[in-house]
Amino acid sequence: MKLYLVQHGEACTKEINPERPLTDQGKADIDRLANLLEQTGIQVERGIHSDKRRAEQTAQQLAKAIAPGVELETSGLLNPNDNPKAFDWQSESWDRDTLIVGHLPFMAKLVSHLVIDNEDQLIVAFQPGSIVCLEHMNGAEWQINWMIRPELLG
Amino acid sequence: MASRSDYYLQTSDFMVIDKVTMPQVIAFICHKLTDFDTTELEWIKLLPLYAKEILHGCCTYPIDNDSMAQGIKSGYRLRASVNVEVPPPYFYEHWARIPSNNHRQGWYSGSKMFRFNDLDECAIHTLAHECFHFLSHSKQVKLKNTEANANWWADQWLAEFLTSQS
Repeated sequence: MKLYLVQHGEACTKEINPERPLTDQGKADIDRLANLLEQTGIQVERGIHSDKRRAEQTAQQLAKAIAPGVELETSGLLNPNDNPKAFDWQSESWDRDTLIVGHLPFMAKLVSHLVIDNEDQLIVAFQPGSIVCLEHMNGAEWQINWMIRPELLG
Repeated sequence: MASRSDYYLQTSDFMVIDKVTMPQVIAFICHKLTDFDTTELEWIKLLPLYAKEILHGCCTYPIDNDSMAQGIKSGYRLRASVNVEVPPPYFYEHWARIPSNNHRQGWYSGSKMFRFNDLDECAIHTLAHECFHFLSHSKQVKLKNTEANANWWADQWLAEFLTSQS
């Protein structure tokens, strides 16, 4: 099973728009990421995003490429300061590849929690529009398969 | 706010400290725990919350073997805090078993907004959730020690509590 953990794309500041939707640059970054993921044949069966606009937009853009027909879920448990330890990844129902779109510092802490069981020691450097792929084999720990940041996509 | 007096109870196995004064809640939880081995349970605390947070729960497991080897030993410690200032109903989002025909077990773990109609319901659910972590971790319940399962377990105990009160 794989988790694709994404920090939302670049978003407007609160002063420009209190809802903080994606900027044009943010949309373009996510579009390039979606194209790459689609070309590699990645598909997920589940998609979850936080209840914030920028995460929802990012998830919707990515889902068109890698989760066609999947009904995205909104969760209030992926917000910036939520506790990564409470993330219910051990559940029996986590048996399918899943896209999760959220915020910093939560996403970075979640990677650390899952991979090294210490959310305070950050091991990946997210930027807006970054994706980290984690894989969990039966009976093994979570491992980082790969990571892509927008700067790699031109 | 009505004044509250602390309530302490020492059972044969564990200590109960209730700083919210909810004897009916404590009695129910203690009664449910009589079905299980509580020799490793050190204490249960029910505490008041005054901030914006509706509830908070924590189950601390016995410390690791290295510490035990040094003579430091603690048992399971269950703590539930409930907001005594915010009026009900209380809403709290957490992981839950969401019914689904697309999963072999008939559900998946997803977000759900829980509703508690009063402080009793909130306290029972929070304590029962932490009891599940204790019971699952100590292998007395054969369900995976997850948040969705803990909330499912808490739903069962809450339903039983409400039936017992009606």
